[in-house]
Amino acid sequence: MEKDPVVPHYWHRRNEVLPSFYNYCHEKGKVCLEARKLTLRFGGITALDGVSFHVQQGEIHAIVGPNGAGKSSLLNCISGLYRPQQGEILVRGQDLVGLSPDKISMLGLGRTFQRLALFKGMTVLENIFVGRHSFIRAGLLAGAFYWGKGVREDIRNQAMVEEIIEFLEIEHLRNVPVGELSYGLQKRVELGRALALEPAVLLLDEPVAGMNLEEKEDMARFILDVKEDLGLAVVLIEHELDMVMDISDRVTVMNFGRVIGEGQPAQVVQIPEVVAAYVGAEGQRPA
Amino acid sequence: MRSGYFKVDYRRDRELFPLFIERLVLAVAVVAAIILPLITDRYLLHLTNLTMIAIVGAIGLNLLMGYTGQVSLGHAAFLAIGGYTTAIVAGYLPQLPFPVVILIAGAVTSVTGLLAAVPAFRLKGLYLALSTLAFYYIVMFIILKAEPLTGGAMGRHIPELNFFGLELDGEYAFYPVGLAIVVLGLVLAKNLLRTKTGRAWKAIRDWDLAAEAMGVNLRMYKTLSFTTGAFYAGVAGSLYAYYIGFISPQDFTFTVSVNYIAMVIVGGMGTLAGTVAGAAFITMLPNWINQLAGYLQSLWPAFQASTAVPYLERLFFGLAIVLFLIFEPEGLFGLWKSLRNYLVMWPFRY
Ligand SMILES: Nc1ncnc2c1ncn2[C@@H]1O[C@H](COP(=O)(O)OP(=O)(O)OP(=O)(O)O)[C@@H](O)[C@H]1O
Ligand SMILES: [Mg+2]
Repeated sequence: MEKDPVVPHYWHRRNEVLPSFYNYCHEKGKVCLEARKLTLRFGGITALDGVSFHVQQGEIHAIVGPNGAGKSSLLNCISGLYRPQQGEILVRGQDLVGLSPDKISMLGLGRTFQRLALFKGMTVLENIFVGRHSFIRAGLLAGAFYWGKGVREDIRNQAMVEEIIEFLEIEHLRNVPVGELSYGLQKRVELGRALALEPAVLLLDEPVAGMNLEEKEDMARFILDVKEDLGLAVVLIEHELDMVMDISDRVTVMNFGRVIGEGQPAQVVQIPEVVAAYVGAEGQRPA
Repeated sequence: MRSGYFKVDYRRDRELFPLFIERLVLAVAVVAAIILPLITDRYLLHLTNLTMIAIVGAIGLNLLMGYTGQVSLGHAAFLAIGGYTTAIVAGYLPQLPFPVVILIAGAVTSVTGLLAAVPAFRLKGLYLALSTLAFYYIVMFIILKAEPLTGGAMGRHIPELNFFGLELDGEYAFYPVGLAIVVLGLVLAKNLLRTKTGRAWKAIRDWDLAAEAMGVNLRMYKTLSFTTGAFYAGVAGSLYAYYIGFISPQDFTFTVSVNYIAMVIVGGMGTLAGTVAGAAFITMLPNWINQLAGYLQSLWPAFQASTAVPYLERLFFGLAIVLFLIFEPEGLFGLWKSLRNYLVMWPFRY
């Protein structure tokens, strides 16, 4: 795996604990993810139609839009689950299109899913531990004989997992199978799992959908903490504009697979097309 | 949520047996394993030896099916490859120490596991199961046709276990060998499961796309699961060949694959302790059925025990699988878990 040109050279240094987060996240305002003219079709449906947008380091970038606007499709293209027919996705100058999702995750892109996608048969600790996968080099034999460097490496990575568990305030649940947790807590574990990848960009697909108010507030706080304490860029897909207005720095509005508006939250809601999309699709005015 | 105990130091849950009750059971098992050959008759020891062989093979299937979620109907093919490799290697090089032969058998089998893994890159569930079935029939076809090497339908003899000139023969000599390999097999599997590889397997089982998004290379880890599972099966096949001393395609029928699946399901998918129990249960079952049939015949002379036994066997196997799937999907291990939690909490209910 060392020789893989896809893995950035500093990747192995990311093996240490939290502080290494900052190493490449400190250049605030720099473009760290860019999509250019993405087009994605499913048979007759055009899910993405020439979508371009970019994310800057250290910002919360919201993507909003009505049902079926193509928000999740965009995220799935970025993380490699879908392959766009046209366009490119650049991370530090490298085109991601065509790379497998596991390679893309190593480039510093962590994600959560719209529908819960936790590992049901595993505990909270194990779920987050899976996020450390690429940071552990000891393979099958070192694991089977459980000796020496491999064990120390595993324990070091567990320390990182424990830090994330603490950060998310779920210490008391660490050994609970995730299936037993409430929906809101499961979403929180999913966030933790993505954080374990030490991403530079965090992609969150509707992290607060279906939550009650308290859970929503908790999640919003964690997302803000992630941005401020860890300096990550966050791409936040949201259905409703309300929460987006409160916590995001920039917003991209999509409808029918196209970007129909982009800018700061307060400006975006002034754009006539955006207003029309929201009134048309949901019969409600954006907040 | 349970509140019966808390672990303060997180390193403690890296221990293999964190609970006192688990250590107690382990201690009892160790003592039982030591005194067993002293107190049992030869027949029971024979069944125990077969159980130990089954445990090794079932660990392999559980890694693949219970932990990685890749259904395999072809386990008997891996056992056969292990068995025939042993017959051939030990046949041509009788002076080779048996641990070396067993390792070679495991290694050869795990290479064939690579082939069986390829369909899993694209197929899942039922379709994957069918591809493993095809793998099974191809392997058995080759074994039947490769007569000069395998003896074809006539089968092949295997020399005694040879350890630097020392020949180990019979139930009593095999017992410590089998036990050592079972313990080693369990420990290695347990270690695998609590490190990177095992976590990746379980992640693939639970949600493959999410696993991939977490950096798990699906092809690589599915392949590793197949090769590791095949390795265990190869070792089991090798032990079987050594122990019985003669193998033919009759020893590796499709029923054998089904029996191994039954062991994993009855014991509990995704639990090693359950695998031990499931392997013992399924290995002992024919014996119990025999006794039952004999008893029925003594009650009711018209009952033909000898003709009824094969049918009864199938009936009970089917029943065991179906009943466990319906009532205790976690298998025998699930039953134990409830009991253990009850004991840990005792006398409090929560
Ligand atoms: N795997 C797929 N196969 C076929 N069509 C798809 C697939 N994924 C998405 N689509 C289609 O692409 C369009 C965009 O869907 P997408 O899930 O990206 O919307 P969204 O903005 O995330 O909507 P929501 O708010 O409901 O999550 C929809 O018309 C959808 O039916
Ligand atoms: Mg969506």
